[in-house]
Amino acid sequence: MKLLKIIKILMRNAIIRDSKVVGFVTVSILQEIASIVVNITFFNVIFANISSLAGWSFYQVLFLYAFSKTITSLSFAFTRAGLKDLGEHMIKFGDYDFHLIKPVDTMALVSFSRPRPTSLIAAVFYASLAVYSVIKTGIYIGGVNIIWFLFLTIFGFIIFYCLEVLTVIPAFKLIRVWSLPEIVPKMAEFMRYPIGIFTLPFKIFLFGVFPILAASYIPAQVLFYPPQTSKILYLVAIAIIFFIIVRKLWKFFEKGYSSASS
Amino acid sequence: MKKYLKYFLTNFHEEATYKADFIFYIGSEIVFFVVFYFIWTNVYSKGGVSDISSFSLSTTITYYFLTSLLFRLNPAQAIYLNRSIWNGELTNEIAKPYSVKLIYLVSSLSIMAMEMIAYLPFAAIILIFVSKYIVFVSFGYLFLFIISMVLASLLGITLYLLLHSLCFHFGDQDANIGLIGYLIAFFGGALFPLRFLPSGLYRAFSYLPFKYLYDFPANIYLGKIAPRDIWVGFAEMFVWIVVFFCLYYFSFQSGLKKYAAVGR
Repeated sequence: MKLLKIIKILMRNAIIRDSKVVGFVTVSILQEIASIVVNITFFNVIFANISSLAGWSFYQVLFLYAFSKTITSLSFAFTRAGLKDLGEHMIKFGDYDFHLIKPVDTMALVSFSRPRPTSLIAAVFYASLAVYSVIKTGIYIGGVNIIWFLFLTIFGFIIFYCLEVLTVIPAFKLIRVWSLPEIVPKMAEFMRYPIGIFTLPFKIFLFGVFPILAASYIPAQVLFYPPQTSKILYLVAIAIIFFIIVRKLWKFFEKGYSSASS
Repeated sequence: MKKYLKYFLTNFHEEATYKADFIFYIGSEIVFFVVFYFIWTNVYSKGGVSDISSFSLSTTITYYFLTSLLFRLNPAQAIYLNRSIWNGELTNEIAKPYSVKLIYLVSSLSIMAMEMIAYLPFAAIILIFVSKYIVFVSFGYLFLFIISMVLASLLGITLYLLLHSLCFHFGDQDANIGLIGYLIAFFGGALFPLRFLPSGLYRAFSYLPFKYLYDFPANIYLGKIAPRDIWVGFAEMFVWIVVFFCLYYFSFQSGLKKYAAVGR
C-alpha cells in the first residue's frame, strides 16, 4: 500500500513536470508516430514480396509489433528511467542511500522512482494500433482467447521487467555500466517478429535463456490461435522463476553496496 | 593543427577509459543486424523470392552488413554541443585556446573512430557467420566505398552540428534531434535499401541528401552505381558538407551572441 501511494505521488509530480514542457511532450509523441509510420512502411516493403512471414500475415505481424511496443512503452512509462538511473548514476554517486532509508522495498522504489507519463500516451497509441491490427486480420477471436491474452500479457510484462532489472544489477559491482540499461530496449527488436523466422539456437536463447521473445510471442499466439496449455504454463512458470531469481540477486548484490561519495 | 590532434587523442583515450562498458555498448548493436538477417533470409529463402529490385539475398545481407559499419559513423551519439549550450558547459570550451566551432567536430570524429575500432571485432564475427552471403565486387569499389564512408561521416557531422547549434536560438534540441535523427536514418536507407521502396517514394527520397549517409556508400560497394554517377555523388556530398558547415558556422556565430551561459 505504501508503495502504491508513493507511485501515485511520483506519477502526479511527473505529470505536473511534463505539463510544463509541452514542446518536449509533443516531439516525443511525434517520434512515436514517426516510428509507427516507418515500421508500417518497412512491413509493406516486406509483404510486397511475400504473403506471410513465418506463417504470420501482415496485420498479425503489425499486431506483434504494436503489442511489443505497448509493453516497452509501459516499461518506459513506469520502470525504465528509474532502472537506467541505477545503472548510470545511483550507485556511482551514492544516491542509492536515499532509497535505502525509505520504508519500502528498494527494488520496487528504484524501479518506479522516475515515471514518464509521456510514454503512457505512446502505450495508448500502440495499444490502439494493436486493436486495429486484430480487427484487420479478419480472424475470429473468441472471449477465451482474449481472457488468456490479457492474463498472459501481465506475465509478459513481468518477464520484460525482470530482464530489465537483471541487466542493471551488475551496477552494484561495476563502476560504470551505461551500456547495460540499453540491452533490453535493443533486444526488444526480437519481440516484434514471429518466432518462426529464427533458427533453433536463437529460439532456445530468446525463449529460455533470455526469454524476451516469449514475453510478446506467447500472448500474441494465444490471441490468434487455440491456447496451448504447455505454453501458458511455461510463460507463467518462467515469469515466476525469473522474478524470484531477480529478487534474490538484487538482495545479494545490494549487500555489497558501499555508499560511494554521497 | 597539433592542438586539435592532441584534443582528438585525448577524447579518444577518454572514451577508452571504460573499455568493457564501451565494447558492450558496441557489441549490443549487433542485435539490429541479426534481426534484419533473419527477416530477409526468411523472405528470400522461405518466401521463394530470388530478387527484389535487383537485390539478391546476398546483396541484401551485404547491404545490412555495410550499413552496420556506416552506423558507427553516425554522429547522433557522438556530439554534445546541444547539451553544452543548454547546461552552460560551453563556457569552459570558449575560454580555451582553440576554435570552439571545430572542437565539437574533432571530438565527434574521435568518438566515431573509437566506435569503428571497437566494432571491428564484432564485424569480423558477423563476417565469419554470414560469409557465404557477403559479396565482394572489386578492390576499386571497396576503395570508393571507403572514400564515401569518410564523406558520409563528414556529412553526418556537419548536419548534426547544425541541428545542435539551433539550441542557441530555440533552446534544448535534444528531443528534436532524436526525432530528426530517426527520420534521417529512415530517409537515408538505414532500415532497408531505398530501391525496395515504390518508385514514387524512391524518387522523392533520392532528392534528399540523406541517401549519402547509408544507401549511396553501400550501393557503391555493391557495384550498383556507375563510375560516373559515383563521382557526381561525391561532388554532391562535398557540396552538402560545405552547405551544412556554412549554415552551422553562421548559426553558431550568431548564436554565440545570444549565449548567456545558463546553468553556470
